Amino acid sequence: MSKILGIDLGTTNSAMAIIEGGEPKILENAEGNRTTPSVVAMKSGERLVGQTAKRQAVTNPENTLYSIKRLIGRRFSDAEVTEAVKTSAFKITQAGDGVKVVLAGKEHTPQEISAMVLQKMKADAEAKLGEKITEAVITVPAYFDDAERQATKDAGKIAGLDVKRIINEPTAAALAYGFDKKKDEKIAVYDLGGGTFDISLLEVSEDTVEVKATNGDTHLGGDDFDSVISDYIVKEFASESGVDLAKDPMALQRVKEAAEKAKHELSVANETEINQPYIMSDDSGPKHLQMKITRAKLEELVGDIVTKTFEPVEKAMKDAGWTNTDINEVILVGGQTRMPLIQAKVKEYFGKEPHLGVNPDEVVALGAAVQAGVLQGDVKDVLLLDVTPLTLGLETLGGVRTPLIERNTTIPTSKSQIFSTAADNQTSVEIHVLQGEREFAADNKTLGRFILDGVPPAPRGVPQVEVSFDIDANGILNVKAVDKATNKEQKITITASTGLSEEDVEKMKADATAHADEDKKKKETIEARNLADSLVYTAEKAMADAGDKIGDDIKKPIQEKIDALKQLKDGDDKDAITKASEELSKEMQKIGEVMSKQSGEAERPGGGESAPQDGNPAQQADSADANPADKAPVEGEYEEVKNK
Amino acid sequence: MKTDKKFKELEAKVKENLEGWKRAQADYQNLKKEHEEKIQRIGEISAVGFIEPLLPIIDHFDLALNHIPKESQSEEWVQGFYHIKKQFDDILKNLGVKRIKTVGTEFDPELHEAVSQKESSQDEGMVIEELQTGYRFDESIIRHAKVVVSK
Repeated sequence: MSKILGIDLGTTNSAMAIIEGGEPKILENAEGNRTTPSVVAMKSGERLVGQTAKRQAVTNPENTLYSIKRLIGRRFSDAEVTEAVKTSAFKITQAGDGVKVVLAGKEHTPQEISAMVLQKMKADAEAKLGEKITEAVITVPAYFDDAERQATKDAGKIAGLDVKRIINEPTAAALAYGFDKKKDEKIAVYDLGGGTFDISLLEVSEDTVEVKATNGDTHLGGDDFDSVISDYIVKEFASESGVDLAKDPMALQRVKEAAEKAKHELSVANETEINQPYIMSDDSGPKHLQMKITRAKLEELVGDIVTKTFEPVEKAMKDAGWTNTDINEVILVGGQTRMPLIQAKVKEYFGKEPHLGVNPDEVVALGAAVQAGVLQGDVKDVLLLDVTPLTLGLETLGGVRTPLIERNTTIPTSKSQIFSTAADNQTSVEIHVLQGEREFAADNKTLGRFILDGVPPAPRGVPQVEVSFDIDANGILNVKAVDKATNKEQKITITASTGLSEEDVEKMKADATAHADEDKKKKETIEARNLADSLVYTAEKAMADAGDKIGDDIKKPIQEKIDALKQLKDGDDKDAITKASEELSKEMQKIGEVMSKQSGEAERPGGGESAPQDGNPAQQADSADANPADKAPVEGEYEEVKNK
Repeated sequence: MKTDKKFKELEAKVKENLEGWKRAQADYQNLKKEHEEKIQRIGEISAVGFIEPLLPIIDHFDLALNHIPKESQSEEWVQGFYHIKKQFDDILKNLGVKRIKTVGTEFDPELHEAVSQKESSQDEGMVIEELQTGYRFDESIIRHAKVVVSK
């Protein structure tokens, strides 16, 4: 059973999404873009769809079709069609009561053209997912009538898609936010796209999302904002330099792009600068376009357009019989709604902060995918997963907290790591389970403790104790410690690992941030100390093992370095400890050099006695048993427990 | 029989759970593959991402050079600008970023964006002027070339 594709078939741009891992995700097209222009062209017998079709539009206006959504399912006599006939560069003809368009000399229904866009999206999705797609959910404007909905369904069929559901665009947006769960709530969806504006008023009841009223302006969108800014730039430039940039297609293009870019920048900054050197040149020389635009100026330029959008909003509210304070949630759809002025006006009108957490360009496609998921059984309450709110770990050498499961990890999950002993002949290890964000055990919450004993006596760092943390779907934490040599194990079950209040969680996180620097320094000192400890141990062992094989000329400097390090390592000067450690490391290498020279003379290569690696006391990390993702096993701070 | 019905229900539930589990595994494996592929391409993605915002600077620099009056072109201080331009070109070359061929080739919407059409002595559909350089990196197009096409 393959995935059902959620498709936002837009007037200017289309997008598609599927459910992956229980969540909706936008699928990029073959060009790597998250949206595909709803443009189809025919050039030299080749069909082009999307951005490619757009790029050759200027050379092929008769055979480049766009905004077909304005024609689909309509009658030839509709006002919208009459308008399109007037303004479109391609031919629109009457076919009975309905409409046809001409592409490369052949007549097609609008459904057939839309099907070409859908076909590209289907093919790109299949290529991306590596599986066939045969079913889809497609969105349509809430005001689409039966004929328009059926025609959209047909477009899907022609494209080879079984359209399982046609859903309303505002409803899809509500689904993307999960608002279909908000019973008895009234939701307003303000959708300002590239070329159209739609306001929809929804009411969520027991099992359904009902459309109470819709209104809009089919020729009002982000493009109008861009035009106003472009016109302003051209006008200002003309008044200052006497040159009309609109006369030069390339200059005009640069102006349009700069206008759009300025618009975007002014959504985050209060002022932006347009800097386009050599925008044009005439007999008097080259001209440069340098202009500052403030957000205030932009808002002044587009103010009327924004105010205009509230006329349909008023009408819709009247139709629904609602007042602006009745609205519980406001959703913004369409890229243009990123503009602060629009957000402010919307908030002012409805008295509520509008939602735009979900990308306004993608929210409808994502909602279609959510619907697809519901139909497919992917999206079930029972599959809603939790996360563990705070980091879980255990205490290791020096009172340090070693994390095992990071906070915000989705559960159920498990993680293991290999630990070892801190002292020679240590026969038991204590597992101290901690929860929190601080670097040191003492600053975190103790969830539990237990002891694993019966560890066969061995030099420090040799035993391999595998500790695993397992959290099940209910948030119950099971910690287990297994000695790999004896297979002896001990475990503990902790039920309270996710039961903290949100306040507690926030407080612990805030604490950690406040102490972050101080904790970090302390931890680095401890780590330097631990390293120094291991190094001293290894150095003394290496010297003892080498015995007579190395002379005093080697032994004495090493002993000096060992003594120096021993002096420093219990202190607090991290830098001094690190330096002394490095010096000892270097000195120790001489043992290896001497030994391998000797054995090289005695026998064929087999390698000398390998000196311990710099700063890496436990080489056992390379054994097959160790978790490959780990570095050296972490030394546990374990006390030997005598008799209980 | 009641137990029969119950059995059938449980059987259906088991099937559903197994399918759901399989789907989750599949999603995870697919995500891994996608992730690995992205990692492979990280080098390419960062190089391209870095270069793209700098392209307008190279464009404008080229425009500026085009405006140097002929009589000044050989002057020493002007020559310096041509040397700087070479530095830009070298950076692009070292990154593996290539200019898209335009003038004299057939208009190809995969590579070019037509800004306007003009009458010319050239065959219809040939690119007669480059308004803005396009760049490619291997098979991917960083920026399409903006051109004028012959009518």
